[in-house]
Amino acid sequence: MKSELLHFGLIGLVAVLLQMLIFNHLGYGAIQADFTLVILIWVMATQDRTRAILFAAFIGLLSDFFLDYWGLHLMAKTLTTLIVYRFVPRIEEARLFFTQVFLILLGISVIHNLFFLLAALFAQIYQAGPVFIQILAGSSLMTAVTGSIIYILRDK
Amino acid sequence: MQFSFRKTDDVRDHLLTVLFLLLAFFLMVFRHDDGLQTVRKVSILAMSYIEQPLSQVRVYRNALQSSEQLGKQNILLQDELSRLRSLREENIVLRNMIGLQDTTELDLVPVRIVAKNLTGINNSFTINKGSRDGIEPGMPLITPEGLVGQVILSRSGHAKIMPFFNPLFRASARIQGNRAYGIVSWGTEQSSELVMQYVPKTIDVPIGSVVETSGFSNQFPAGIPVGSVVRTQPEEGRDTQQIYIRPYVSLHQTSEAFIVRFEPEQEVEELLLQYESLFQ
Repeated sequence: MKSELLHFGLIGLVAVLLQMLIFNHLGYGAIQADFTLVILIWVMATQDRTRAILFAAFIGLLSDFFLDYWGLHLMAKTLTTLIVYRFVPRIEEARLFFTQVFLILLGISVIHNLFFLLAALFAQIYQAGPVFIQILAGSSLMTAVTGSIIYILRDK
Repeated sequence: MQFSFRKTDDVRDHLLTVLFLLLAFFLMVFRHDDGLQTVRKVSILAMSYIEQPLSQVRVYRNALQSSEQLGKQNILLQDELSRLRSLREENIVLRNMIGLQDTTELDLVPVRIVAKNLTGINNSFTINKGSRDGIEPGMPLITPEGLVGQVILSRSGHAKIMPFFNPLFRASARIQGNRAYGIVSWGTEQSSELVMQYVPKTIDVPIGSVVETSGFSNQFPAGIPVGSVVRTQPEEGRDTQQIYIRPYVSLHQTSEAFIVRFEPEQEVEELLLQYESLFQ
């Protein structure tokens, strides 16, 4: 149990660090791929819901800590996990086509970014209004593309 | 039996989510409280150390881009310098004549930007100097082109900057030439423009006029250039107009700057507090 916790803790930490060091710099303006969300979806597809929620909270808190978005990622990721978990196919049970993977990732990204932006608008400490569409459409699309590429590479 | 297990799991998952949502709500609402401010300072420090190696790449790329630009600017500055030398002599005579003290000698600390967050939602910079070098919250960050932002948090070796493209940024400013004063903040319609408010409609503001800090807010020294006027728009139902400004400084290209070690007049701060207490 302890080693499993450590295992997922390390995966989460590495995902957040990769997000900060690589994916945050590969974006265009506010449009960025959310690598941590891709990893979270993989956890949803392989683990039970409680673990997925705990993992979502962990990477949400880490992202908030490093990116100064206190509470936004935590809220968006845990809420998204609770809601979309039952719609994510199990990796061991289903072999998915590229298009299916892309659409699942896109749908989850849109829901996640919607929660993120609504929380940002609610908090009124972040200027989410002008970049609402950019993040909702652009970042979701970029996350879906990144996740699909990782899925293909992993498959090979 | 299996059904009841599943139900227990459901309740547990929902409770966990509610717990995390409450925590998220708490963080969002109380992020500016003292306890969380300390955690934020630690996070800045951690992020600075992690992002520092990457900043070298950005600095090198920016250096290549700005090298040519600096060459051209250097020629123009040489020309201007020779003119300024003669003007300085004249200025000293005039200053002595009207009895003004020279208040434009700013105490500057050169700094390097080690981390940038310009995603548009919560724009901020992190610089490589902090309270050890006398950098305190409230001090302005400038470049030779003009104002960049203001220090909001400071640790021993690093500090966090709120650039002018941040929803919380405010600066008291004036328009050169016509003594129009107002408050400059980030325009929400176009993210590449600043907006100056509270300028009376009766004041004619020519396009291209220079906007600079007024020094009235006791936050910035007077005379730091902010940008130039691109258009004006009268406010409906009010006696004021909105002045749209294109900033002189490009936040994306800035990698080195100066902190102005400016300390607000304590007496003015105290007077302000006393004045506010009259209405409490």
